[in-house]
Parts: sequence; C-alpha cells; structure tokens
Amino acid sequence: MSLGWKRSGLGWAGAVAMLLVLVGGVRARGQTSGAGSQGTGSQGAASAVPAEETQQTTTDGVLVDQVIGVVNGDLVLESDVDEERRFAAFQPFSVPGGRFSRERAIERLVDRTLILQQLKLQPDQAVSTEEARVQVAQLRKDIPACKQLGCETEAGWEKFVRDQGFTMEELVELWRERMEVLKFVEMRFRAGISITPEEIKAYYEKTLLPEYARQRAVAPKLDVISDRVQEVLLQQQVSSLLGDWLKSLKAQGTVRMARPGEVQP
Amino acid sequence: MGGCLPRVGWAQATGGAASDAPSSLRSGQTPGQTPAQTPTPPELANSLREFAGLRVEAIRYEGVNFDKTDALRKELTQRQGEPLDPLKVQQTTRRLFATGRYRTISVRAGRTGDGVTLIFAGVARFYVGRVQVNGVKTDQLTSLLEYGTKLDPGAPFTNAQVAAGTDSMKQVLAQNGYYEPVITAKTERDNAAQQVNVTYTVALGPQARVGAVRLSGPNQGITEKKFLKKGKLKRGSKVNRDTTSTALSNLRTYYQKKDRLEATVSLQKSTYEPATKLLNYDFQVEQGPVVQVKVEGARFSKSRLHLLVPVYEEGTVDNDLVNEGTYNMRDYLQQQGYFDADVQVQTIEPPGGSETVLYTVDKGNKHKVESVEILGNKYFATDLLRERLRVQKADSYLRNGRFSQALVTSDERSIQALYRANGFSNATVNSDVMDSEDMDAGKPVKLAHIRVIFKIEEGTQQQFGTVDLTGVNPSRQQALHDLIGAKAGQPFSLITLSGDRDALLAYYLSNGFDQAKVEVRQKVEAADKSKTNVGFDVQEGKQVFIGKVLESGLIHVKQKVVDLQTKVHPGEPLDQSALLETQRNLYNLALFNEVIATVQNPTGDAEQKNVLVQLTEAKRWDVTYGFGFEAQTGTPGRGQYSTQEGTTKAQQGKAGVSPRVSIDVSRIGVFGTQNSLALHGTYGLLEKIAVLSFQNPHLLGTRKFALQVSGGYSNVQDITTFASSKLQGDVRVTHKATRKDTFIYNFEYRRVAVDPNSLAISSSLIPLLSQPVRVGGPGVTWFHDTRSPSPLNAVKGTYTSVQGFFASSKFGSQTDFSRGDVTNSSYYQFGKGLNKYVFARNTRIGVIDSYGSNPNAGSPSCAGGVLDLLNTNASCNAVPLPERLYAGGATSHRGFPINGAGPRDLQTGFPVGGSAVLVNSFELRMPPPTLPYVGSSVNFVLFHDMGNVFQHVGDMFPSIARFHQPNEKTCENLAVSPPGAVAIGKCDFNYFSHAVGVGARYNTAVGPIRLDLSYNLNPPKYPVFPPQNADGSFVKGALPKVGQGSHFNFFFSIGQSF
Repeated sequence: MSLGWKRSGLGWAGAVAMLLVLVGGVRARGQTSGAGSQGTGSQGAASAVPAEETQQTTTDGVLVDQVIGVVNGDLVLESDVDEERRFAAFQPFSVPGGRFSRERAIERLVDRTLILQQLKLQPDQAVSTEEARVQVAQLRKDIPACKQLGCETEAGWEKFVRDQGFTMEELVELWRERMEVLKFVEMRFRAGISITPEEIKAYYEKTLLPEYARQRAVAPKLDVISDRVQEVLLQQQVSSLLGDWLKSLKAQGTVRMARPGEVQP
Repeated sequence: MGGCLPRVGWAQATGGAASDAPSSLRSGQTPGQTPAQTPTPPELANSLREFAGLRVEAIRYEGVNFDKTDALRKELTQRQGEPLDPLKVQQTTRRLFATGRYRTISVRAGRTGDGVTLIFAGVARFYVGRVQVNGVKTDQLTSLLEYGTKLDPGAPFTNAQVAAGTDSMKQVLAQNGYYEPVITAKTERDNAAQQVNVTYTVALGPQARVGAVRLSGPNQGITEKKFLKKGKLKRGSKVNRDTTSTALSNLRTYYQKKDRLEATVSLQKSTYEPATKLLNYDFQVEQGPVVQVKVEGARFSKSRLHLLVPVYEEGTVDNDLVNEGTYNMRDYLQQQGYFDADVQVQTIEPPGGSETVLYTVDKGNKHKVESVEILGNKYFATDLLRERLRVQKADSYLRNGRFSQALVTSDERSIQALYRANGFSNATVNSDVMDSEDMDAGKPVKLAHIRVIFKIEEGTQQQFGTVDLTGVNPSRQQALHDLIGAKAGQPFSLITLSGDRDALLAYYLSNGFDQAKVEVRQKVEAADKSKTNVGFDVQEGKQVFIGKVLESGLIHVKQKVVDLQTKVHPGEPLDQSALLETQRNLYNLALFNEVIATVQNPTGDAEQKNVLVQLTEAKRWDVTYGFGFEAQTGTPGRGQYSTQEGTTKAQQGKAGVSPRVSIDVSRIGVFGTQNSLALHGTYGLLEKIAVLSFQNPHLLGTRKFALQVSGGYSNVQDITTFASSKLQGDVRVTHKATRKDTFIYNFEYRRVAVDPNSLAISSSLIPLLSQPVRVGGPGVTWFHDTRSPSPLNAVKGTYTSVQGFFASSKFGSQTDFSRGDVTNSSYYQFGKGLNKYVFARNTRIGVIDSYGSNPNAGSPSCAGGVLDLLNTNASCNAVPLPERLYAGGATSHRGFPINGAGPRDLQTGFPVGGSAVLVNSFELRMPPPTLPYVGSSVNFVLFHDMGNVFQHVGDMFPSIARFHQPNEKTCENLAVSPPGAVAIGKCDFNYFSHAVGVGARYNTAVGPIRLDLSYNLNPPKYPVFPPQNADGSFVKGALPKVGQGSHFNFFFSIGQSF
C-alpha cells in the first residue's frame, strides 16, 4: 500500500486525501471478468513455449492499448493508466508533489482492482448518481486549477472536464463508483476502530508538540485539537488495516505484471 | 499523452504491499518479490483516445480466432461501422480476455482516411493436456505422483508449472523414502487441441533406510533402545510413508499406558545421507507429568473410560477435552437411564509434577421412559412424527429409553419446523414431562418412570397462491414451467419449493448453463392470508456449447467402443451431467484404469469450450488368486463308507472346514472390445474346477443382450454320497429385459460322471450309477427381482427365479428328463423408528420328470418283488445322480447338512436326492442391538425351515402334513430276509422335516458374515447295512444299525441365506 501518509507527513488531511486517491477512477475495472486466475506468463521466454509458436501478429497500425497486469483474472490496461492520469486533475490531493507517477498509478490500479473484486462479493454499498452529482459540484469549487480556468461558470467547468478527456456523465459515473469504494473501505475498517483518550494524548505529546516546536509555532491546546487528532489516528488505523488487507489479498490471489520487452505477459 | 513522466521505482512506492510466496512462486518469481517490483511495460506513444469518434471500418482478430458462429461476437460492444468509443474498446478487450483463451492481448489501430481498422491481437493460451508419470512400478505411488504434479487437465498451462510439478513430485517421493530420484519432464504441444501434454519419467533411485535416531529433551522417560523398539525404527529398515507416523503413534500409546497423557514426541528433522542412503532422525521427546483420570460417584471400565474421556485419545490435557469428557459421561449415563446425571470435573495439580483429572459424578435416580405420546396431530401421522423424535420410549433395545430436557426441547423444535415447512406457519408444539420421582416426592424410588407428551396445535395450513417464473428465455418457459410441482391451491410446502428449485437448476445444468441461479421468493398474500405467493427468479447466465471432444489414450480399445459410451458431442450444450455419465460409462466398461472427463478452460467466460476425455487403458491381462473356506456341519468326506463300515456317522458328514485356493486369469479387451476371456480355477478338498469362458457383454452392440460361451471341467463333492466330475460346454444369452426382469437362454452339454470309489450306495448299483452320462439340451431361466434397497439387505420386494432345463436324446443327450426349479422370496418390513423388523420368506419347488425306461431296472438293489424297490429305493431313480434334486445346507433347509435332505440309499443310508423338492423358510430379521466392540453392526435372526426332497413328484404335496416318516418303525427294521440275501431296508422319507434356529449376521462391506445354528425337530431315521460278503454275512462282522439325521447343525458363510 502506498498511502505514504507517514512518510509525507501531510497530517490528517493528507491521510484522507491518499485514501481517496486509492478510490479514484474505477469504471473500467468495474467490469470484472470472473475468468479466474489465468496467469499471464510472467515466467519469461523460457516458459512461453506454446505461446511463442502461435505469435503471428502483424504490425499493422499502431499499438493503442496493452496489458499492464492481470489481477485475479481482471485486466489492468494501458488505457486505465491513461484514464487515471486524466482523472488525477479532479483529485487535488492525489498527486504528491504535483507530478503524476505512472508506476504509482499502476500500483493504485492494482489495489483498486482487488478492492473492487471484494466489493462485488458484498454488493450493498450502492451510491446513487445524485449523491455523486452533489459531490462533483463540491469538487468543482475545490480544484485550484479549475478556479484559474473559470470553473465558476458552467461553460468553464464543462471545458475543464472536456479538457481532461471526460464527458460529464463519465465523470459523475467515475465519481459515483469511487464513492462506493470509499464507502466500502470505511464500512469495512472504520466501524471496528476506537481511539482512546490516552492514544490521543500520546499522539499530541509525542508527535504534534515536537512538530510545532520544530516549526517554531504555538501549539493549540489538546482540548481544542483532540477531535482532529482522533480523526488523524482513525485514518492512520484505517490505512494500516487497509494496507494489511490488500497485502493478504495479493498473497491469496494472483497478481501478475507485464514486463517491458516481454513478448506476452 | 505525456511521454516523459517521471519513473518512480515500484519497490519505493509499494511499501509493504508485497505478495507472499504462493502467487509469487507460481509466477516464477522469488519469494518476497512483489509482482509490481518488476518494471512495467513502457508507456505507449499512442492512445486509444486519439482515434475516438473515427468510424471503425474493420475489426480483426489475430492470434486467437473465433468461429463466425461463436456467440461471443454478439457480446462485443465495439461494433464495426460504428464510431470508435474508447470505453467500448476497453470493454471489448476485457471481454475477449475473459474468455480465457488469451495469454495476453493488445489493441492496434490503423488509420485509413476518416476511418480506423481495429486489431485485437493476442497470444493464444494453451491448456494442460495429458499428464503421465512413467517409471514407477506401483500404481499407488504413480497415482500419488500424478496428483502431486498439481497439473489439472484442462486448466491453463504455463511452463513454470512443469518445474513446480517436478519439485512437488520430489517431495512426495521423499515422503515415501526416495531421496535421490531423477525426474525428467517432457512437454509435447498439441496445436489442434490447444493443449500441452506433460510426461514425467521417474527413476526412483535407492530407497532410504532408517539411520541414526537422536533423542533430545530433558525428561524423556524412555531409553533410546526402547524408543527404537516401540517406534519400530530398526536401523537399516526401509523408510516408507508410514515410518514416521507409525513411530509417533506407537510412542504415544506407550506413554499413554504409563499415564503420561501429556507426553509429546515430535520429529524435529530428518536428514538424508546420500553416501550411506540412511535417513537420520531427530526427535524431541518430553514425557510430561503423570496424569491420572479418576471418577468418583460412578464406575466405568477402563476401556469405557478411554472412550469417554478424549484426553486419552488426543494425548493432551486441556479444558476443552476435559469438559468434553463430562459431556460424554453425562450422555453415557443418560443412555443408562440416569437422565438427571450431573458430572463435574476439576484438574488437581499437586506439587511434584503429577496431575489428576477428577470427575465427580452424581448419577441421580435411574429412570425409565414409560411412554412418549403425541397429541393433536392431524396432518402428519403419529408414526411419521415419532420417527423424528430423539426422546425414545424404553423397549428391549433401549432398556431405559432416551430422555433429557434438551432432547425434549429439540424434538419440540423439530416437529414445529416440520409443520412450518409444510405451511402451518402458526403451528406450536409444547410438551409435558411427568416424572414419577417428582410425584412420589420424599419417598426414595429405585426406578423412576417418565412420561412425555408432545402437544401439537397445528393451526391452518397455508396454500400456494400465485406461482411465478421470471428471468427465463421464452423458448424455455413452457419446459421449465412443467417442471414446477408447486401449483396454486395446493398445500404449501418448503420441500416442494426446494425440489422445484433443484429441478430447475438440474435442467439448466444439463443444457449448458453452468452459471444459472434460481432464487425462490415467497410472500403471504395480502388479501388472503391463507395463501403464499411464490416466485422462482432465474438468472440463466450464459449457455456454453461444446467445441471439440478431445479424446486421447486409446491404444488397443476400438474407437467405436468408446463412442458408444460417450454422451458429449461437439455442438451440443455443455451438459455437466452428461460428462459425468460419460466418465461413469467408460469406467463401467472395465477397460480403463483412469478416465478423466473434464472441461478445457473451465474458468474462462467463453461461449464454446472443448471437452477432454482422457483414457488410460487398464492392463489387459490380470491374474488373481485367493484362499477361502467354508465351515459347517455335514462336510462330506471321501471314502468314508468303506472305511467306517456299519457306523452312522459317515452319512451325516462331519463338522469341519473345507479350504480351497483359487486362481483367475482374465484377458480383457479381446478384439479391442468389451469382450473378455477368463479362466477360473479352484482347487480344494471338495471341489476342483477349471472353466474357460468368453464373455461379450453387449451382444451385437446391444445393451440388453450379453453372450457367454464357457467350457471346462469340475470335480465337486457337495454331498456325502458321491463325488462327481463334469466336463461341460455352455452357450448362454442373457437378456436384461427390464430393470427387474432378466432372462437367460442357454444350451449346454455336459458329461457327468460319478467317481465309483466315492460312491456310497448299494454296491450292485455302483457300476450303473457311476457310468459317465452325456446330458444335453436347452434351458431357460427367468429372474424377477424387486428387492430393495439391495439384494444383500432386502427389506421389501420379492425375488423369483424360474428355471427350466430339457435333456433330450433329440439334442444328443444320453438321458431324457426335464427339470423345473422355482424359487420365490418375499420381504416385509414392520416396526417403527429404529426397531424395524424384516420378515422374510423363501419357497422352493423343484420337479424332475424322466422319460423312457429306467436303466437301473436290472439291478438286484432295484429288483421288483414285494418291496417294489425300483419305486421305493430312491437310489434306483432313472435320473443320473448328479442331475437329481437336492436340498439342505446354508442356503437351503438348514435342518440338514449340505444336500443331506431327502431319500437315502436303503442299504448304505446315504442321501441320494430325488425327483421333487419343496422347501420353505421363514426368517425374522431383527434390528441390530448396540453391543460392546461391534456396536450395531451385528443383528440376529430367528428362522424356521421346513420341507424335504422326495423320490416321486407325487409324494411332495401329501407330505406337507406329515411330521413323522410314514411307517417310521420300518426304518428301524434291520432284519435281512431271507438270511444271506442282499440286505435292503424299507424306509419311507415322504414327510416334512422342520428345523428352527437362530443366526447372527455381522455386516461388512462385502455382505453379511453369517452364522446359523439350527435344531431339526424331526430328522429322518434310516437303516444302514454294512457291506456284505459273498455269503451274505457282513464284512468284518459289522452289524446293521439305525441311523438318524443330526438334530443340530451349524453353518458359517457369507451373504444372507436368501
């Protein structure tokens, strides 16, 4: 799991943001195949004896999509990575340092595919399109780049969405599914976590106070900030549990990545 | 599309999201390496979006082809002639990959003016084909290794699996003591079938032997020498897969006997030394404290305590096991009638290392369940409800009955559930328990009585309201509707609904819809609360059809033999039950050791799939040999009459064992078909048989007719009187007309001869009756069998066999007679619950009618005169001795030794058979009681057998009413008149002999082992005259005596008597 919360030191807002990143554009992968664990032959050329014999593809045209990885039989495609890149524009906290990383996007796609596969098994986390529209309307106000491009007007907002390669319906649908994933993760992990006052106090004293001291700022009192600390600790634990869960899902299933230069995955 | 985005290392980004060993190893990666740690393919220079909106002029598929008829094409969302939609192309790519037929897939786009050509290029997936392991002699180990390869035929294939299979096989071989195997794997690609066959060749190498055994642990409590002895770890002995488990098991038993119930013995490691071929073991041994299990307040035998307290079995003392012991004791005591038994347990650990588990038992008063009544039931019969009750009234099998408050509550729920499942949604069940102990409060009672009354209030029964079927293709609507048993207005029943759901699913499965789902919904109708509307919501899923049927493995067997049994064909819906039936049919041919019938690409979401039928032919030659014996009274002995003149023991035979060895050599697959050739040989004290037979189980390809041609020699002595030999040839056609009826038409010739040295009849008849005779003619037999549940264990139904045989000179026979033999059995079950009895009856009537003159007419022993010996001396019967009718023995009249019933020779007293037989048996088969050691696998029978064999057909029915031999005293008349004449007695055997007895049946997998003890109420008397000298005096001065059949007989054999 690359939530990166601890490393980046973004604070609670960062933790929430990274969790949201994980549940970014999901539509394409919502179409799971159920084809089981067909390996993509990451064992290299030596193991590809049967396949090599049948590789008689032409070189007509240009390559426009390819397999990046196979997660329990579901494909992660190059076009998914492209969509992820475009969707990043709608997630202001999603790109640490403001630069899109292809490898991180692939990692997120793999993780998200795993979660989606689990979500299919418990299909009671439905989010309506209307709920998604409400959030997208809010989103419109929160994207800094959007503000600069005149998103306050309907025309400016539509142009911004179009510039990222989406129609409005596609964006709402992607966001709706993103909300479903987020809801699933929250329901699964958050409900069982309780943060004690002692933990809040310990975090305040051992993490926050030294940080404020380092920045030579005046730390607010614990009473004032305790709710926010509790949320931070909650997200930390959710992230930690989610990371462990994804790790076990990968161990239980089959995740195979295509290799560069490989004839077939 | 930006092509210069920064590339961040995957490992850096993944953090702890490493994939663990299983998936990593499968993909050929080293453990701990994440899939994502491998660098991903470089970003593409072009993207799908660049072509969005352009008209798709053409769509091509490369690498993997689909038939034009393949329904998959209709499912692909990006269509030719429509604008390119990146989302649809993505969906199409995913759908194609989901078929399971691609190893990988990519999309290319070629611009042609304002249009674009889409190319879905892929690399076809191959699947596991045949997997064979050669070089191992034992079938068991070969099977283990095949299983060990973890290569499943039909599953997607990767080369890494081959190497992994080799590693797994090495582990299997190491477990079996082979540490230096050489395994070579060869793969062979079958492009047409899209599969790869894998052949492993194994050179086992030396089998390891037990080497040094090292023990560690501070408190072992055993010497190394004793450890080796108890663990059967003798140095130099061969290691096999049981070596370690046997050692651990034996040592656990050893420590248990010493009350070291918590002893632990574990194998830390075993190390193989290639130089010496020895396997050295390191065991960790800890004998633990002495643990004693004590019981206060009740007494249990040691063996019973071991059964009740699982601490002994598990070899450890923990709370769960200790508490389980209390439950077991309580249950056991409740079975004994102590329904209020209370058991407490505590573990005492005094200083010094020992430990005591103390059970304190308060048995309470002994009770007996006097009655269990059910009141208020109208819809269900009392017997049906009673069968479901666990509370049981006391009877001869459950001496105190069965009772506890928990059982009463459980029974209440069970009855209520039954009513509710049948639409009585308001049904309630309550119970009253009356305990005489409570009623006689204050007075001590030795045995309290309990009465239990279940009171049922049924309420009204719901009816089915509307019955809907949704989600079904209209073309199947009617067929499925006909399968539904739930109809409006009929009584509501969950069982009906469940059966309907199963029927619908079965329909879909047999028509290629293996993902079909049927959900049942039910709702009480708002307007009429007495009706429940039900609906079957169907999700049909995809219909999958068979592409090719990929058969392999035929070497000698002809293709048409397999084709006849194959129920799956190309183009048909993929019917899983037909696939199973194909496998079953092919196994039933008995020509194959292994039949794998499976689907290629089982997890792929394809519309068309291939089916694999992989066959492994069995060895064509088979040799088996065995040893058997029978034990019974009346075992014939040879030459007894000549050596024991004048005694009456020889006529009865002796109680004894008759052993025999047998050998069977068979050759299956004759002419590559189901035909077989078999040679059966038996050599024993009483029988010597060699028969060669040819069998064609499907005559002219039909399923109902079978042909058998056999011929051979047999020499059998199954009667005390003589040993006969038979040289015979037989052609028979078996016609399985219906499930219940079978006809056998046969034509046979046999040359029967009696060994004159064994023949114990009037000496003057020996030359005549020992003459070899050719008997030949047609025969027909009809079997009608409705026994259920099985012939060996019938509780109802009937069994009838009618046999007719015609020996005639017209067919070349040297004797003319016809024989009819009819047997009829019936079975009736009665009783309730576990106490079900079976009353069985068997009646046999047989007659022989001979034609022409009697060849024995000229013998002095059959001469006419006042005695009319030709008609009164049964030895003079015109039918050859071995062809006559006989009775007596384990499967006949058990009041006689084997074939010992009926008329006897009037000189020697030996049984000589007759022309008619009538035997009737009644048997009461009782339910099995629960006994120590054998549990409920033994049941007992009471039987009554009656009947006899008669010299003339006309004697048969008048004899039924006779309990004694007519003119019995004449049988005791030993006077020879006139003196010096041939000594011949006068004795009439036309009566019904009755025997009663008791038997035990011990049920085993091969049928019941049977012991019957019988007492003949009226065994026959008969005169016995010793052989005479020429002057009429008896040899060696022996005197005539009166013989009588034995009252007592026993029989030990396998199978029911009828």
